Amino acid sequence: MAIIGTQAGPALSTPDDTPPPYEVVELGGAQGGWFRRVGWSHLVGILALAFSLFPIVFVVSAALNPVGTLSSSTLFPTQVSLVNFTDTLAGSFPRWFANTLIVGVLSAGVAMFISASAAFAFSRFRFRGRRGGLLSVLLIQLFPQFLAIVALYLIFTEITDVWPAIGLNSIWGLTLLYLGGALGVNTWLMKGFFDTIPKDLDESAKVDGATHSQIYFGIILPLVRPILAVTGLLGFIGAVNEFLIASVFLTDDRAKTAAVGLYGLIADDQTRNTQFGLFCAGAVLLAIPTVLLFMYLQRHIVGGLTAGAVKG
Amino acid sequence: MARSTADVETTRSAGAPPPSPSGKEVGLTADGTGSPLGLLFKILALGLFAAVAVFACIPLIRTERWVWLAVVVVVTVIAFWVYLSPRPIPLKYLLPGTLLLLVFQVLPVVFTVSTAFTNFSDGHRGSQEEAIAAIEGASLQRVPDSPVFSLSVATQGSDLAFLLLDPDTGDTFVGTEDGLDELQGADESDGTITAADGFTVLTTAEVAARSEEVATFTVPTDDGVIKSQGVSIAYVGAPQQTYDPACDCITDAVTGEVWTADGDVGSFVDADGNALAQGWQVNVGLENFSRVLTDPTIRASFLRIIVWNFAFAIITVVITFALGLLVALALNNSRLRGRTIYRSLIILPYAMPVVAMYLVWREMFNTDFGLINRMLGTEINWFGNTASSMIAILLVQLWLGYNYMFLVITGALQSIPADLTEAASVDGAKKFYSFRTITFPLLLVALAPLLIASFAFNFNNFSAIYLLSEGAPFSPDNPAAGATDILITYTYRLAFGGAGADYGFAAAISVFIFLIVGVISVVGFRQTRALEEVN
Amino acid sequence: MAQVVLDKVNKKYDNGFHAVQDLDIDVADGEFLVLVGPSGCGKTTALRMVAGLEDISSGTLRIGDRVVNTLSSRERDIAMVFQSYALYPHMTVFDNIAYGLKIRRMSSTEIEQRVRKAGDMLELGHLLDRKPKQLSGGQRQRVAMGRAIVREPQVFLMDEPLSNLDAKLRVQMRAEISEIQRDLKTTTLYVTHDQTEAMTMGDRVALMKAGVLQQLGSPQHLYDHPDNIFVAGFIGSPPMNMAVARLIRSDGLSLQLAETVLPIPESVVRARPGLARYVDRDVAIGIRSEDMEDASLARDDAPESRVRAKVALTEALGSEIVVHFDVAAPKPVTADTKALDKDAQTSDVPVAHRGNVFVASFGPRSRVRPRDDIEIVVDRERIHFFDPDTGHAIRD
Repeated sequence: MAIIGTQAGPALSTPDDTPPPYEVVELGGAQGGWFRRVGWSHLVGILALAFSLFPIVFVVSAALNPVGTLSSSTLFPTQVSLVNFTDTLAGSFPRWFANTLIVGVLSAGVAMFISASAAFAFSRFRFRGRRGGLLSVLLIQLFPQFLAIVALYLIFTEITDVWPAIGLNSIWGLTLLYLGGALGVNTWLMKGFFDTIPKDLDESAKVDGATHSQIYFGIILPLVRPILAVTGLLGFIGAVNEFLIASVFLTDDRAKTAAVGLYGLIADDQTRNTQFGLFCAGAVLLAIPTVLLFMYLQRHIVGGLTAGAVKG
Repeated sequence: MARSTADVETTRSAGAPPPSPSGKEVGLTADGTGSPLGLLFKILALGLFAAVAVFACIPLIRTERWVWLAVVVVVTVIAFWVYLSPRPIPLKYLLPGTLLLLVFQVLPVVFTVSTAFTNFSDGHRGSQEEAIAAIEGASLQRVPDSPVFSLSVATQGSDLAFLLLDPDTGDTFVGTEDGLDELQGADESDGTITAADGFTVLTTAEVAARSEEVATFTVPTDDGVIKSQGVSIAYVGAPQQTYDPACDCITDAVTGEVWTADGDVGSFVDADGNALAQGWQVNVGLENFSRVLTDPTIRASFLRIIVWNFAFAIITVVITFALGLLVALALNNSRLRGRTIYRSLIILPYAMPVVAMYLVWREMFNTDFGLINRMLGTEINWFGNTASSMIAILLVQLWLGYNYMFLVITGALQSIPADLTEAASVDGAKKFYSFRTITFPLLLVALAPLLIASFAFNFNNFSAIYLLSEGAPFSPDNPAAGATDILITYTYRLAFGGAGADYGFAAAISVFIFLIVGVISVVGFRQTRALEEVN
Repeated sequence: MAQVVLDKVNKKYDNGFHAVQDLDIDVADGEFLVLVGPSGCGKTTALRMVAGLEDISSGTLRIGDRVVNTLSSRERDIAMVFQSYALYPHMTVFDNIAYGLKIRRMSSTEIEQRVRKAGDMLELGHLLDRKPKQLSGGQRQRVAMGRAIVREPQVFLMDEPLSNLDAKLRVQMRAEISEIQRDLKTTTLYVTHDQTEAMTMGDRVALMKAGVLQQLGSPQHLYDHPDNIFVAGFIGSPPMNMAVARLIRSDGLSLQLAETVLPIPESVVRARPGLARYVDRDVAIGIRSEDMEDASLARDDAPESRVRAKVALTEALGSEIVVHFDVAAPKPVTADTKALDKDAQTSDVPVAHRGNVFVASFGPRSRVRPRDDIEIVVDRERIHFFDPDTGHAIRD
C-alpha cells in the first residue's frame, strides 16, 4: 500500500553533509553583479520559503487563536493562548493520538521485522519457487492495498462477526491490515539492500560455527540497520497519514486514529468554523512526531556501512 | 507463494543444517537452535501462536464456519511443522510474510475481482432465502380481528421473551423463539405484566439498549407471527407479500400483484419489469463492466473521471518537478549563504501530517471564512466550480510535492559532474543552453523512475481529492461522479457514499484501476529495470 | 590436527556444469598443500566443498578419521580465510577474532586469552578496539588470519587470501603465513591462481585445470618433471618455451628444430624409452629459460648443442639478461596450450602474439643486443618432451 512516503517513494539521497566528489553543475555565474551571483538565488529561496511556510504558520496561528474559529483565524496570530491545546487534550484527541502511535509503531515495527526475514530468505537462500516468489512480491507491491478497499471492507465485515477484536472499529485489525500492506514494498526494498551485503560474511560466520539464525540476527540484521530504519520510519509515517482505509474502518470515536479523528472534528459545515482551532491544535500536536522522525530519517540514511570492510 | 516440501529440498547446498546430533527429525532444537535464549523465544512464540489459534477457533466452531476452521487448523499445523522441522529453512523466514501477504494483499485483490462480477450491493446482499424472509418480514400486517397485546419485554437467561397481556380477555402469554405459551402467575399493574416467575422484565432503558433485537424478534404462531410495535404493544401479524415456491414468485395478498424471481439479476420482477427493492446476490458476469462502457450517463462520467485522473497525476508531477528544479538550481549555488536553513525549512511541508494539511488547505479555501478569500478580498466558491476546484487542488499538490522533488533533484544534480557542462562551455555554449542540452536530459534520465513512481502514487492519491474537494462540484445528472473525482474517490463513493452502496460496481471500477496501474507498471519496469533484480 | 582426504570427489551443478571431476587429494597431517590453477579450474569449488559451503555431488571427504560429507561447516572443525577477508564491519577487531569462540560458548576469560595471544602473534595487539574499516589492507588480512588461528581448528582453508594486497605486501604476508603455519603445524589447504605463491609456500602443490587434477607433488617436482604441457606452462616464470620439433634418427636420436639439428644425449633417450615410438614423428619440446645460455659465455659445451637465432628484444635485469628471440619452429597446439593462452590473457603475463618467441635468461656478462645474430647453448639434458597431440610427457 502507499503508506510509503507522502508523495512518491522514499527520498534516499542525502544532499546535506556529504560533499560531492566533484564540482557540481551550477546555473549562477561567477561574473556579473550581486544579483546574478547570489541575489537571484536568495530571491527564489525566499519565495519558496514563503510558499512552503505560510500554511504551516497559519495552522500554528489558528491553534494559538483563543477564539478558535476559522473566521477569526489569521495568518499571523493576533492573540496567543493555549486554550485550544488544553481543550484538545481534554477531549478525544489523546486517545486518537495514542491509537495512531500504537497502530504506527506496531505495524511498522512488525512489518519491518517480517519483511527483513523474507528479504533474508530471498537474498541468501536458493530454493525452488524463489524466482516466482520474488516476482510475486514485485507484482504485489505495485498495487497499493487501499485500491481493494471494497473487498477489504467486505472481508473485515465478516471478520468482525467472528473475531470482533481484529474487525472493524478495532485498531488491532487496522494494525494487521497495515502490516500486511507494508510487506510487499518493504521486502522488495530490503532485498535489494540485503544483496549488497557480501555473501562471504555469512559463509565466514557459517564456517565459524554459526547457525542460520545466528547469522541472521548476529551478522545480517546489524548490517542492514540503515534500510531497517528507512522502512520502519516510512512505514510509521505512512500509517499516521493513511486516511482511506482508516476512515472506512474506524467509525467508533474511541477507535479512531488521529487522521480520522481530526477529519471528524471539522466534518460538517457547523463544526468546520467553530472547531477549527481545536483541529489546528491537534494537527500541530500530530505534526511533532512526524516532523521529528523526518529530521531523524534525513540524518540517518547513511548507506555504505559495509564499504571498506570487504576488499582492500 | 506457498511452497511444498519438495520446493525447499534444494536449499541444502545454501544453508542446510546438519542432521541433528540426536537423530531427531522434528523437535525444538532440530534446526540447530542452540542458545537458551533462542530456545526460550522459540517456545514462547510457538506457544503464543498455539494459544491464539485455539482462541481463534472457538468462535469459528460456534458459528459453524467449517472452511475457516479448516484454514486456521491447516495454517497452524504448517507453522508448527516449519518451525520444528530442520529442513525448510527458507520457509522459516518466509512463512509469516507469506501468510500476511496472502490474507491482506492477495485475497483482497482476488475478492475485488470476484465481487466485480456480482450485483453485491444494498438490496443484493444475501441469498434468495434471506431476501424472501426480508420481504415477508417487511410486509407484515396485523391480522384483522386479532388481539393487540400489551407487551413487556423480558429475558429468560440471556434469551429474549415477550410477556403478553390480552387487554380484552386478561389472558397472559409468554412468547419465545419457539412459540406462544400460556403464562401463569404473572403480576400485573396498569394493564401490563410487571413480573413473572423465571423471567426478568426489562426496564425501558434496558429495552432501548436492545431495541434492534426487540424490533426483529418474532414469536411464531399458527396465524402468523407476533411482533412488537414500539416497546409496549405487540400484535399478530401475517406477511402481506408471500413467497410461493411453486411459481418461484412473491404474491401480494391485497393487491394481487405478482413478482417472479429473476435469477439473472437477483430480483423479484413484476410483469412491467419493476423489481422489489430487496433482492439477492447473484453472479452478473460482465454486467458491471459493460455498464461503465454502455450506460451513457455512467460512460460520460467515467471517461471524464479518467481524463481528469491522468491530467491530475501528470500535471502534479510536472509542476512539482518544475518548481522543485527551479528551487534546486537556485539553491545549488556555492556562493549562497544559509543554504542549509533554506533547505530544511523548504522541505518542512513534506514532513507535516498530510491528512491534517489537506484539511487545513481545504479550510483556507473555505468560501465564507477561508484565509484565501479574506486575503484576496474575494468570495470565490473554490470547490463550487470545476476550474477553480481543479486549480485549488493542483496548488495544494504543488505545495505538498515540490519540496520532495527539490530534495531528489538536489541529490541528482550533485551526481552530474561539472566537466560535462564545462566541456559544453568550451564549445562556446551559453550557460542555459548547456543546462538545457546536457544537465536537464541527464537529470530526466536519472529521475525517470522517481517521476514514474510519483505519477503512480498520485494517480491513486485518494486523500488529495477526498479531503480537498470531495470530488466537487457535482453535476445534477450523475450525483455519484464529481468533476474533480478520480477513480479511487469514485470507487469510494459508490461503495461507502451516502446513497445505497453498490459494491459490485465499485469493485468493477477497482478492477479498471488495477488494469491501469498494471500498464503504468510495465512502463515503469522498462525504466527501472526492476525485473533484472529478480535473480 | 588431521589429514584431509578427498576421494573421487565430484561437483556437478544443476545446470550440468561439472566443476570438479574425480578429485583425489590427500593432505597429510600438518602439511601445507596449495591448490593452484587458472580461474574457473574448480579449485575454489573444491575448497568450498571441504569447508562445507558446497554440497559434494559424489565421492568421499574425510577430515581426520571422520567422513564429513554430510556434516555442516560447524561440525567439521575447520577455519577459513576468505579472499575478501569477510570481516564483520559492525564488530571490532577483537569481536571479529572472538566471534567463532563466542558462537561455541567458550568462557570469556579463555576467549580473552586466546584473542590476545593471536593478536600478539599477528602484531594486532594495539588494533583490537578498531573497526575493520579503520584498518589497512594488510591489517585486515592479519585479522582474517587471526580469526582462523584463534579457533585452533584441525584444518585451515585459505581462498586466495593474498590477492587483494599489493605486490610488496603480498611477498611479506606470504612469508608470514608460511611461518605461522610452520609454527602451528595445522593442516592447511591453500587456494591460489598465482604459481609463485604455490611454488614458494606449498609443501606440495596440486595443479588443476577444468575441474581435473593435473599433477600433485612437491613444487620442485612439478617444475622439473611436469606431467603435461599444461603443468609445464603454468608452473614457472617465465613460462616454459615450447616448440614442435621432429625426432629423427641420425647417429642416435636427434631433434630437428627448423633448420637446426640437436642431438639428444644418450642418457636422455635411456631415461625416456617412450621416445623411440616418436622417431620420424613430431614431438613437442619444452626448454626452460634458464636452460639456455649465450654461447660466448659457455666454455666447455659441445658444438652440437648450439642453436643460431636472431635476438628480438633484451631485458637487462642486472642479475641476468632476459633475451627474446624468434624460433622458426611452430608452437604446439593442444587443449593444454589453449587453456594456458586463455589464462595468460586474463593474467598479467604478456602474450607472444606473432610467431614463436623463446625467452632465455643469459648470464649478466652477456653482451647481446637486439637484432644480433647469436649462438645459444641449450642444456640438452634438460629438454622436456611431450606428445604434440595429447600434451602428455613422453617417458616410458
